[in-house]
Amino acid sequence: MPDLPLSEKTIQPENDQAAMQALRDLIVGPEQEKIEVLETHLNEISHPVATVEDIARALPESIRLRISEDQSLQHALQPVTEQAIQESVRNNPKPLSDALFPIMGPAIRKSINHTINTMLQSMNQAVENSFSIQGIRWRIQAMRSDKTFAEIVLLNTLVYRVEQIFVIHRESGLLIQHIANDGSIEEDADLISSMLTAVTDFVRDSFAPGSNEAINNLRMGEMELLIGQSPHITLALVCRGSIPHDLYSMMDEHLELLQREYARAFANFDGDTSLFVGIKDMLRPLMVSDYREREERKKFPIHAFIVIIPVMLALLAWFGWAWYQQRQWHDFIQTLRNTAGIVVLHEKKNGNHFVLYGMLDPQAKEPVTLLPPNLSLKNIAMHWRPYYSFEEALVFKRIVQRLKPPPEAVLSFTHGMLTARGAAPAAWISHIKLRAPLILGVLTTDIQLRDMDLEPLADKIARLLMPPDTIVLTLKGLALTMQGETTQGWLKQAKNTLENIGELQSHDETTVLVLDSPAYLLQQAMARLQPPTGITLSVDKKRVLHAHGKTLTAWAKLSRKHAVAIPYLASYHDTDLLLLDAPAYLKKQAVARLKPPKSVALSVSSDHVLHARGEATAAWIKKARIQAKKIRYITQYRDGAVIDPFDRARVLRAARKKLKPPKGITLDYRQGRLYAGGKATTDWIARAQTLAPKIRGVMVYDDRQVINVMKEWYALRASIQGIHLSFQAGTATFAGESEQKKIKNIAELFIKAHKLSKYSRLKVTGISSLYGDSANKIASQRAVLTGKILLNQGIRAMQQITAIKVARSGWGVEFDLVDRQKREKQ
Amino acid sequence: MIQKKVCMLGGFGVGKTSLVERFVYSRFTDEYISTMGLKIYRKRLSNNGTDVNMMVWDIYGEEDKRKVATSYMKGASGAILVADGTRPETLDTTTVLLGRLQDTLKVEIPWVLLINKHDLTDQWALSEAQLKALSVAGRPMYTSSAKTGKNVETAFEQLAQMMVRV
Repeated sequence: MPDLPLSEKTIQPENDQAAMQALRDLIVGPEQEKIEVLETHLNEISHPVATVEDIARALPESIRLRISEDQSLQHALQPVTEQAIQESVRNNPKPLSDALFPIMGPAIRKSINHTINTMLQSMNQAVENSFSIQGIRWRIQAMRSDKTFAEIVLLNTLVYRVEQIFVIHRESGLLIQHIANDGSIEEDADLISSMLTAVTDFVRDSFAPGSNEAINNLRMGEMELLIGQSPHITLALVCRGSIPHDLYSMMDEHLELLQREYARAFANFDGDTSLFVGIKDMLRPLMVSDYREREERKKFPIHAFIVIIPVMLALLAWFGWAWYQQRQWHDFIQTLRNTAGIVVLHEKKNGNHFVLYGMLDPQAKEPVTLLPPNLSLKNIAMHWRPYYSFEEALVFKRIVQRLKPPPEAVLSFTHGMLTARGAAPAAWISHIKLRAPLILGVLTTDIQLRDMDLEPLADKIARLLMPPDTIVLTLKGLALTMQGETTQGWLKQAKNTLENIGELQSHDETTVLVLDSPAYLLQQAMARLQPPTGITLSVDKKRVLHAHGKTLTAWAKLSRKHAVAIPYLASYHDTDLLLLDAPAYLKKQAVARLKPPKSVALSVSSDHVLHARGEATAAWIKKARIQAKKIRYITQYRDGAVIDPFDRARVLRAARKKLKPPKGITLDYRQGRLYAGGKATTDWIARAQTLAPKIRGVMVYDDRQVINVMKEWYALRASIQGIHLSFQAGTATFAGESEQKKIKNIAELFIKAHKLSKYSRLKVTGISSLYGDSANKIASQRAVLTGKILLNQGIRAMQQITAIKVARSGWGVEFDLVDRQKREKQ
Repeated sequence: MIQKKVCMLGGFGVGKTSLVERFVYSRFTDEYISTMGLKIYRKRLSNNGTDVNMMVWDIYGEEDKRKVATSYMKGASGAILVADGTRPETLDTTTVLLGRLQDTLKVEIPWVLLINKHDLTDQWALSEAQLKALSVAGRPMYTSSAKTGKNVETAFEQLAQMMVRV
């Protein structure tokens, strides 16, 4: 291989490839680049998957680029986007509405606020520049209540305050958060929130089922509840007073804020409220209140007021006059309606004119005279039609006008009846009788008029007869009729007198009631006495009333009282009456029925009680009781005083009462014999023997079975008599100690004796055998000593002092038992 | 504290209100006052250290003319289904109501079935076998009595446990 130039020598074998490349670049470089580009394009065409990724990377840039150039992309995408949104809403509107909620709220509110603000501004202007009735009312209120106008405005200003806020989970009604303006914790907030949800659901279910609407306002008195809803929560504001409109927008703003901040937490709410502590601070700005803002708005337009007052006054005066005229007219109509003979059919007002249609009786008052003073006749048109009124006053006027009564006749008219009294000429009387019924309104007539032409004759008759007040004389033509009541005497005299009056053609007194005629008196007696059946009454010519028959005392008494009161009755004779309940009659009846033995006396007291006394057998007593009941008018039968002398129980009762038998004695009674048995003292035995035969029914007293307990007593007496006390000679000193024991023994014996007879007495006799004066003294001392000792034993002893020399010396006191009663008897 | 909404569901007159009153206020009255609309009760329970504030919605009883509105069921975390042991047909009503509840909520929530008025032994119309058949299906089921208080607390406490566990 030939040598290469130096430059070629420097080229190393490893650099050969690079050199080749360099050379290739130099020769075919531009073509190679073109080939690469062509290859790339070729690749793009043959491998489309790779290009999707590229497009994804390039797409945002491309769109941005494209949008900056022109609108064609927007145009191209518009139908697709619209369709996609429509499809999305159709499938499920919730995601889209959730997404749009935070945006739509502010947008809508902004628009509404703008509209309302514009409206309010023009309204405010209108209110302030024009006349406000509210303003005047407040002015008047201020004047009346002595408060400044500003105070009244303040009182009436719209004041409000948010008091509580509830954040409630919309679906479950669970309370998420609660705030109160005074920081207090409402114990039942969770219940309230649940209930509020339930109520909202209920209202929606009831009135708009299936819709998504909800209550957004509840009002009770001055409390108002604002309710806002977001997709997940309900916000409820409890407010007092009238709330301003912007509170709604404030609430909505906060609702959106909460929804934005806590959307995820709300969506996943499982009852755990600890996640929502931050909500309190977020809602704090909603706890607003307002007092002043409104006050400023109520500036009152004083100038308008000044202009309005005179206009008001003028209007007031005009209305007042119109009202007064109307009132006068009304009063006039009322007066017409109340006036007899005037009927108002129709009345109306035509502008300033009053028109009236009605009916008028010729006798009625002229309507014009009834017109009130301030009502001008110029403004009134009255149209009357004639008619006849049936009102009494008018009918009477008509009667007087037609009949023209003479002054002696007195006419009156009530309830359709014409009454005529007094006197009138015979011609006029026939005139009134003929004409009166024909007068309109007269239904009946009662015409009793004296014929003035007959007056002298009537006077003469009255003077001659001198009729009592009870008699009415009527003279018709020349015939006299007498009516009323009088006595036989007057009537007889009157008849005689009338016979002698020549002018009189006839007289009739058949209807006169003769008060003292037997027939009339009997009639009176029957009416007043009302006699029961069985009684006949009669009146004789001497005007004596007789009563016959059977009756009771009560009627007899009453009839006497009534008979006395019958005028013109001379006397009343009732001794022929048989009084069925008179004691005497009743006694007769009783004797007949009871058939008492001679030993029994019957009597009847004035109160109809039948008494029986005396002695009778038990059988009769029993029978008498039955029979007594059968006697009419006997009210009671008393037979306590009738005794059966041989009645065992009665005799025994009497014996016990009289004899007072001691415990040991039994009594018995059989067939007139009284038996006594048992133990008794002599005294009792003796007494019983005296008294027993005196007891009624006791024929024989048999005390053979009574043992005399006094026998024992005598034994005791013997023992006592056998005891003597010994004393030392010439002294009142016991001879030994045994003497005391003796006294004790004496005491015991005496107690036994006393039990047997309470009349037992112990006799102590002191004895001295000395002679001379000292003997008495010693005997006395001995007895006294013994008595004292006995007294200490509870026994009183009689002391007897004897100073004699006795045969047996050695004792100084001896004892004896005596029966005091016996001694007394002796 | 966790709050839970619980619905009382059942036919009319099965004793829903009596059960809630017994559970919340421990009281019972024989008087029957029909619930118009609904009443809400609150009972705080403690379950394994977790305080549960149970908001019990005592809803009016299901009747043919007046179905229980689904809006009251929304957001419930648990339900007490109540039937009357003296009227077996009220069991069917609970089945209908359970179906409606699940359709409304789109999820299964814990529930307990109470067969009430167990104190009325002479009118009781369900046999032991029928009761066994009801509980076999794995239902949390109790016979209860608002009058004696039988199983009332137990049922509510079990429901609370089930709700906290879910």
